[in-house]
Amino acid sequence: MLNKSQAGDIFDRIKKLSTADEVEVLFSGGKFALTRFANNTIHQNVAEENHIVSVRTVFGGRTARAFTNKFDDESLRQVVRSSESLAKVQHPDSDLLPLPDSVEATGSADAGATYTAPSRHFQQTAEITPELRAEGVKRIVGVAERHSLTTAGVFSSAESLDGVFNSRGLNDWHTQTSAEVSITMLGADSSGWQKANSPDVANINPLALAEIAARKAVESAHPREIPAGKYTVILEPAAVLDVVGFMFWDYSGMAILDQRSFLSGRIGTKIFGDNVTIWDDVAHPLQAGCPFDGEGVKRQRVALVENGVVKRVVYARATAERMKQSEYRDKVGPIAATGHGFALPNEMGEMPQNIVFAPVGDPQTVDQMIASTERGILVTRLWYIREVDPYEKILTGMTRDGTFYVENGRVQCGVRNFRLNESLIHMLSNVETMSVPVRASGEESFDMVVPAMKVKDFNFTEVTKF
Amino acid sequence: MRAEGWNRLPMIRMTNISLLPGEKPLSLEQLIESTDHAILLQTNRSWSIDDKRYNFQFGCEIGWEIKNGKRARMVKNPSYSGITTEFWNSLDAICSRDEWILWGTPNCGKGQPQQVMGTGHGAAPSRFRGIKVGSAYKSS
Repeated sequence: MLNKSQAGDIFDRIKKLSTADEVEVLFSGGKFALTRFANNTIHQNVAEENHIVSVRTVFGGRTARAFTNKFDDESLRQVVRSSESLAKVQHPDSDLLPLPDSVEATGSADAGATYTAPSRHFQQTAEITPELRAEGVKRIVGVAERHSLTTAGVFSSAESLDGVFNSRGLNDWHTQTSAEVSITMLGADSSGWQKANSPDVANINPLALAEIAARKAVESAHPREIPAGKYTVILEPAAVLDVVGFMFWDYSGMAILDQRSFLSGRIGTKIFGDNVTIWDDVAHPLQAGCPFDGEGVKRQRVALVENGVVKRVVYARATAERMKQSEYRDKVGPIAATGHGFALPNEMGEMPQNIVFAPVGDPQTVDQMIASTERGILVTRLWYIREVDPYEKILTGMTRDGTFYVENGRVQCGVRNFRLNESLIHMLSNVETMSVPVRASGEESFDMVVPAMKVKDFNFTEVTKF
Repeated sequence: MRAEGWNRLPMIRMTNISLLPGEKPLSLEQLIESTDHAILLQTNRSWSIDDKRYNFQFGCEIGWEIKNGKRARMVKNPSYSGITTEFWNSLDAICSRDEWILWGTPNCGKGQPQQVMGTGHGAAPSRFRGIKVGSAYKSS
């Protein structure tokens, strides 16, 4: 895999080729491999290695980007020429700032707390072979066959890099590994599911995940239809993750400036329950990802919500400067670059991507939540979540792969899947109890550290046919 | 079978599914004139369907109540939902070719590793009987 020293050489060659006022080069890529199985057998094994060099040049407020995955002299000359010719025909961007140097990239005191990011590169994960993935799949299939189920899913592994170099001397580099297992177990009229992702494959147990997925498929067989309505729900962490993930695009300075955030007019006010505290924290031990943003600014630990009160949003450098001049500047809390910007140029500005829900003082396990529930629904995961109302943050979606009726403190049976139409504001104001937060994986949102939640008056509006 | 590029496996997916226009001449205005009471739904902005493609819900930005063959008041944020097979069995009129538009979306994601492709879905205004509207905002 490309290393920082090699990247530095490539950057030096690019810098010599460029006539621009400023040059920024981003490196990305690595190795990715995936083994996919269905009908209890492996049917796909793919692997690729690719490294991308993305060159941004600046001429007096005009900027553009071009990229290549070839590093010979002619290819680098061509990508520099492409970036420069594109930059020269852009309209000047009055919000464009000079590139950050390494001092600015470490962040200001207003940005958030300082941190030390842990290593996220694990040799054991980097060395996963197709045979090791196949061995994991074999164990999963063994569980399926023992329960007379059919299984499908993936076991993937990756070793990736992110790097940034610019003509003001900034250079930073991040490598990490990743392993992921996703399992669906199918019965005649039911299904179960589990998914896990970690930089360290030692944290992933395919056999244990398969057993849970299989149990859900078996126990939700012959689902009963019960009417839609408002129920107490117990949302497992994957279900919490996929639904709350839809609000984090709104914790963005640019979203406030564009007046497309549901937090417009709500920063500093209490919109969730006392028990909801949310951080963005790239250094959290259960998190993953790169500790700097698209311009190389260090990601800061930022308190987004404290005891139900929205405290602030995150900023790219240029967005922070725009906000300081805007009519909203006195209504949005601290304003400073927090290290959450996307690579420039872009239309979205920034977003927090290392979400961590703070633990509560009296966490409960899912089993304890079930035991204290007189009548409710246990939800394994949600599916096809989409936004219905952007300001009230009403979301729709379906339950999937293990939905159960709970009565008198016990799981009674599987039920046909529900459609939800629920406001996130309403949901996070009605959380009765939470579990200890865990690293969770879903399909609709990026991985986060979230708890299971027991929520009262959750709004199911329809029932489907299975 | 479709593949996003040379380095992805082809998969079974439907990128170009269209509803044929009605064979008899029928404009949208004529369809409205022949309708006693309905909601004309426009500007779709939200879509969701279960994993077996039965229960669906679509949300729109704007709609118009149709009363006695005329557009009446505007309705905001209308939604419609139902079961796919029941929905298509309730179709009783499709406007003709002059009203047909090729819609689509540029970013339909499928597969693992994910493959994103553009889609094209053509349709003309159509009338469906007895469809549930408004569930998206029901008691939320």
